[in-house]
Amino acid sequence: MRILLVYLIFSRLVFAHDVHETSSYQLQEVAAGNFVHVGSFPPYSSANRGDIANIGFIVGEKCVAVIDTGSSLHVGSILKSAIRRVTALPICAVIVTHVHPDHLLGLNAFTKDQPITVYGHHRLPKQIRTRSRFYLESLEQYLGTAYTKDHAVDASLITPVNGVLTLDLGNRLIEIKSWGHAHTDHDVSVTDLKTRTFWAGDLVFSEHIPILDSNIRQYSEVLGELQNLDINHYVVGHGPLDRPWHVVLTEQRRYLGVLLKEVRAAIKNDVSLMDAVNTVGWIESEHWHNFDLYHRRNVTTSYTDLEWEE
Amino acid sequence: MKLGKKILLFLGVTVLCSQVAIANSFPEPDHTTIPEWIMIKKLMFGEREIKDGSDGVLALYLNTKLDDSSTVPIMVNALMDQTEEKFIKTLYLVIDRNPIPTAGVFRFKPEVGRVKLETRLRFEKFSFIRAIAETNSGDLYMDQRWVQVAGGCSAPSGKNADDPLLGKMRFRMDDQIRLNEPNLVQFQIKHPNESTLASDLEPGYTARFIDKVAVEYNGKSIMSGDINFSLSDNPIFKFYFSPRSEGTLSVRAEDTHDTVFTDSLEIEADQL
Repeated sequence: MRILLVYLIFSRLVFAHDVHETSSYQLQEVAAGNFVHVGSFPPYSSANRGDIANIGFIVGEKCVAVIDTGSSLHVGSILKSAIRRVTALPICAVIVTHVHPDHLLGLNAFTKDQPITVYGHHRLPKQIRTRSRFYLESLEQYLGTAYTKDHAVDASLITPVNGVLTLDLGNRLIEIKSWGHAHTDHDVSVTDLKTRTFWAGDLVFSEHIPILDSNIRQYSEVLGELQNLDINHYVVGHGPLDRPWHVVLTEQRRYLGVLLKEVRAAIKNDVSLMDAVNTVGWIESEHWHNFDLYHRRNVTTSYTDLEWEE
Repeated sequence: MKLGKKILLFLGVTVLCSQVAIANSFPEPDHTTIPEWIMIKKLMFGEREIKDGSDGVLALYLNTKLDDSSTVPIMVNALMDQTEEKFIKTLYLVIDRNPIPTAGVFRFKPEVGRVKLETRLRFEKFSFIRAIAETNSGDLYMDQRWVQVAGGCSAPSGKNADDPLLGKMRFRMDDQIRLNEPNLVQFQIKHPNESTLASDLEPGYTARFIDKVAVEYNGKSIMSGDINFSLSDNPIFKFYFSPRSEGTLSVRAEDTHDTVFTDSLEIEADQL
């Protein structure tokens, strides 16, 4: 919930209704059959029109799996049109990596006309139910009431994943994996086993400051696990896809390490939260996009959690 | 007091419902002309004059860049000492456009030495926050700040009232306690402090939040407060107190589900 507010608060989002304007829409084929649209960095603006997350799809010989649907029906519809330009195969699965609106609210663009199985973490339905009203009210300020109803996501659509679930797209197996507490408490990743392409969702950020909406200690542990993955290609939730994977991970682990260490020290030295948000971790400020927008909240989230640490 | 609170709650809800979507950003308005405040002021203080507190009585501090509408740290510092002759007896925190605009009413004894209060607040709409001090002679002084974050009361709490640590208190104070001087003390209560607007509350469920806190030293009240969900989850309080001898600092908190939480801290001779 904390995430959306900052996305929305800075500049008014103008959604044009020219959904079919796809000529300038860029897709990147990061590995054979793995197509990604790289969003611009948040916050929302009239220039990026809410197109801020990396979203995309994997094409098998039988059907297509979509991974995240963007922040609105507009963004979801453009992705859908782009899929049609790549393949005529049916879409057999949509995977929602987590509840944040820039990954979720385009879902109805895919589900409104045809039944499609939607996969998400087993804790995702609860998150949709509890956050939906709040997200839609926030969206309402930008789209107007007439449109927000169309964005309401039905939590009962979600087929829950607990552990690892394998889907066959036709001579192409993909694995959906549910994680513990990391970026959120309900992240799933997707791995295309054929090309060993790892779709991290917002578990991993590149160049964009990582965002913490869960538990910092467990997030750091999950990143340690990611370091051991045997993969050839990757897709992160925000940021460019052409940098070495181990560098991207090392940078993010460094940031979270600094945050963890300095927040703990602040609490120990009785530095108040009010002061901590402006002092803790600022050594990292030059290294990340949108640091000024999200870092203080990362401090708040970790401070209010760690202050109860024994 | 009870009736006053109910009126304010009603007023708050009416104001919320009649409010159209807020603009993204607008310049700080004149704090004296806010319609909600004009009503609140009348209900709470009638026709009494409220003077500018920044001139020697109290100052309110917030960060200029706020990151999280459900966790906004604030600090109120008295600019005068508490003496038997002249002291701040009540500190009101008012958030004009929150569902319950009176975020807290705190009563301080002269024995605290100097009034200070640090806590964390939720903001539902762009709003002024006001700290109003009432002295023992009945004079009112105010300092205020404009706050541009929203959604803090309706955001899902995401917190679990079944937390095994519910009601656990955390104390903090300096190792070196000085007698007859203001010493900083902090306590925090593990509690979801649920907002009635939180979008993850089941219909028909009464939000569970702390509505009373009381702090005593050796059985004598030094500070007490009527509060609500305008305070963030795991409510935290930092303030001064001036012990005259060793003794027991005890805290009692009560929530809207009639659960009482108590804990205490021994101020021992070797600390004195």
